Amino acid sequence: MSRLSIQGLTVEVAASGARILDDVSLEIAPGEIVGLVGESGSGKSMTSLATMGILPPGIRQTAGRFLVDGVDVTAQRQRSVESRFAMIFQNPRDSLNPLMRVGQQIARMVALHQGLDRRAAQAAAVELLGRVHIASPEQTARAYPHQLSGGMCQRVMVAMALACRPSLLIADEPTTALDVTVQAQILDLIVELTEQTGCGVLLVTHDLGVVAETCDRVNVLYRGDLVESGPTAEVFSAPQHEYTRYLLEAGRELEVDDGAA
Amino acid sequence: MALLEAEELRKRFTTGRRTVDALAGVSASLEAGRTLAIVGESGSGKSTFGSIVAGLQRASGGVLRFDGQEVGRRAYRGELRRRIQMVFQSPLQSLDPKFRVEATLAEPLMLLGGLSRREAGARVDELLDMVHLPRELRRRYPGELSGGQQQRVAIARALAPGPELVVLDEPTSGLDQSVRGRIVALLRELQAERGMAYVFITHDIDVASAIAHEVVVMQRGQIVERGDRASVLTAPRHPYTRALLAAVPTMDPGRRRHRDAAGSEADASPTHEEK
Repeated sequence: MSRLSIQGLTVEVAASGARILDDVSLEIAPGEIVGLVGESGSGKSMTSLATMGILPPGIRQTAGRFLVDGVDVTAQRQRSVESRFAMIFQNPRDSLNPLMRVGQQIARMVALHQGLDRRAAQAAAVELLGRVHIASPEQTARAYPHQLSGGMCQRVMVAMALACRPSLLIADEPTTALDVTVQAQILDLIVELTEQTGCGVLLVTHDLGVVAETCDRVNVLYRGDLVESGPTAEVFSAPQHEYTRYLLEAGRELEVDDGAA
Repeated sequence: MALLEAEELRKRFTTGRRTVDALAGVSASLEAGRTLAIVGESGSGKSTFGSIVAGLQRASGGVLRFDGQEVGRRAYRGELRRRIQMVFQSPLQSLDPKFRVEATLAEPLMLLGGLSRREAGARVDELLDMVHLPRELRRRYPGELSGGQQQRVAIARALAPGPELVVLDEPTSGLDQSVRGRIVALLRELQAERGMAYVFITHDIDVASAIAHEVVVMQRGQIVERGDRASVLTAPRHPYTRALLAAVPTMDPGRRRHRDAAGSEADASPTHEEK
């Protein structure tokens, strides 16, 4: 059974009725990392926001269902702790509360989702920081976001996501703002935790290199339409849709180029 | 003689009790008409180097020469402003939102090229042609253009006064991959036509390898490796360069990440690093 099943998601601008997403469906199996790619304006981020139930004002979902482990959660996504969706974003430092120590932020999630008291939640937060491979978790738990590097902040976000024992992790451009060496570490971490927890991951990215190295399957969005979907190796070696071929060529254009010297 | 020469260039920033040597003695040179890529991660000092070359910041020590003349220790005046130009990462932030494209492009021609408003206005179409933008965009504001179109306007503005050196600081970083390739192609074409030199600052190794003649790799204010493009990017000698190249995702699904590999925490220092 799929961890997440999105069925016929349609999203529009409320005022004009302009379509942002048109009948998008996708499935994520337990322990599977599924890529969602496309260029600026293709609707990638709207798909992740709609799934979380946090579309911006003026944008509305007009059709579509969300099933988690076979249960329809379309109506409860925003309110229910039961939906067990977690999300990490492109700018981890902006996603954290700048005025609160990071350990406390994680502990709040733990308390909310696991019903622990304050002391136990704080201990659990430190343990989670260890699980995301932060070397000195006690010390880091006492730090404020501005005292941490971008990569450290993203690890904290992943720890917060783990606190709610998610069935589904949505990672929206999680490494776009990070250096390549740090990006590699965060991707390794996401892959490792997916293995350990069996949650599904929706990895939203514009970087086809990231998809090639981390995703089991990939979905290609073009102007709100899902134009291609399949196992990563197949899509990369034999893309069916013209737009997918164009994206792959654009990504390889610089790699194969040898005329500069 | 090299067009640009840096010898032991230094820049120190002090905040409170903390001092950071953004440039800890950087030496590099660039011939006319060539491209030097400066590759590095956040905090390597690559942008500091670029902004000193462009005259936006002063060096704390060392020597910077442009066309044999010592620069870099005081504000650029007169001809230097025309001869060295800069293109930034975010065109939406570097273009004046209240200037139409035509005003943006006419201004450097008037200020640095000595043209009248009418003469400058007449040259705007040429500049748009040069960067392959349709002439009807001259009446638009930056907010009405796509990211790629904005960056083309920023490039046209930098080239308008006829510079001999252009410093480009991450000019393709905010763009989609498909647009990135076209901007790199444009920059190469313009260099072939006009012969100016580029200092090209980037964290993107693919882009560096597509445009550079020479490459330097910076880490913590120092150059750890230098050489022609092929030797640095295909046969790196320094461990940091190798680590950097190994971390770049390739479009090869056969090279999957090890599912058992724990992300080791090399970025553990609890320091504030802005990208």
